[in-house]
Amino acid sequence: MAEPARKAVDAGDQIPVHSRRFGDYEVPADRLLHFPEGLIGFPHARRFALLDGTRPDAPFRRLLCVDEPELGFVVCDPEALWPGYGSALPPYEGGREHLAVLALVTIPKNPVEMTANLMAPLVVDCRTRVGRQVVLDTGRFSTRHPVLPPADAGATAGGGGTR
Amino acid sequence: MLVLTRKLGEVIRVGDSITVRILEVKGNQVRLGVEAPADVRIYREEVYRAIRKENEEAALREPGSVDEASAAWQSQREKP
Repeated sequence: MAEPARKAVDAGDQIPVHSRRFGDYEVPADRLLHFPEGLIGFPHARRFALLDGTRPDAPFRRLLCVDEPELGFVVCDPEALWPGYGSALPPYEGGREHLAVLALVTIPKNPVEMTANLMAPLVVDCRTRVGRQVVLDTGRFSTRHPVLPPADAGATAGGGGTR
Repeated sequence: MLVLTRKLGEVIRVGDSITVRILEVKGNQVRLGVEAPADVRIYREEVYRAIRKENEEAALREPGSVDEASAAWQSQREKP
């Protein structure tokens, strides 16, 4: 990554965020994730807080934007859901073992039909907490990969749940 | 829009550090070779648009969606 290292922050600094949609919360400055390029379509969304869901055993977390407080996503751990997925990532000179990978989840009205964007995962270097949205344009991955088995989604949604 | 005509093998330069070379022309297909610094992101337009659209659709409208996702995942797991 060509971006300069972020400014040193005092570990005790708390960043207060006021959000109508997600409520007010505080995030320690040294826990922020930095996306210097933003996300695709959201170029100004650069600092995020990664918050646990209310069910810590489920592989979903919230990724809330500190710069745009009404912007937030659900992300999943793709490696937990699709073991081996991480090996599809391009080589990383800093060492792949330091990378954390998150996939954005799109949740429709019927959450059983939720999908994960495996074509454009968020890849973060855990040492610097700097990441970016990587595009895997190999034809292997979809922007709408079903999170739950399609047969299941079809049964619960009353059919027609194919993507 | 700037319109340029190029022959096979010729190059267009964008700024100091980006070049686009015409590698092959076959029917209605053109193969381009793009050289750019690593921090310049290069996408096929339709891929860029698909990802931007999906990012926009993934942006949460409801704060409780993570719980809905977790509940759906959990109930699917508990099925025999």
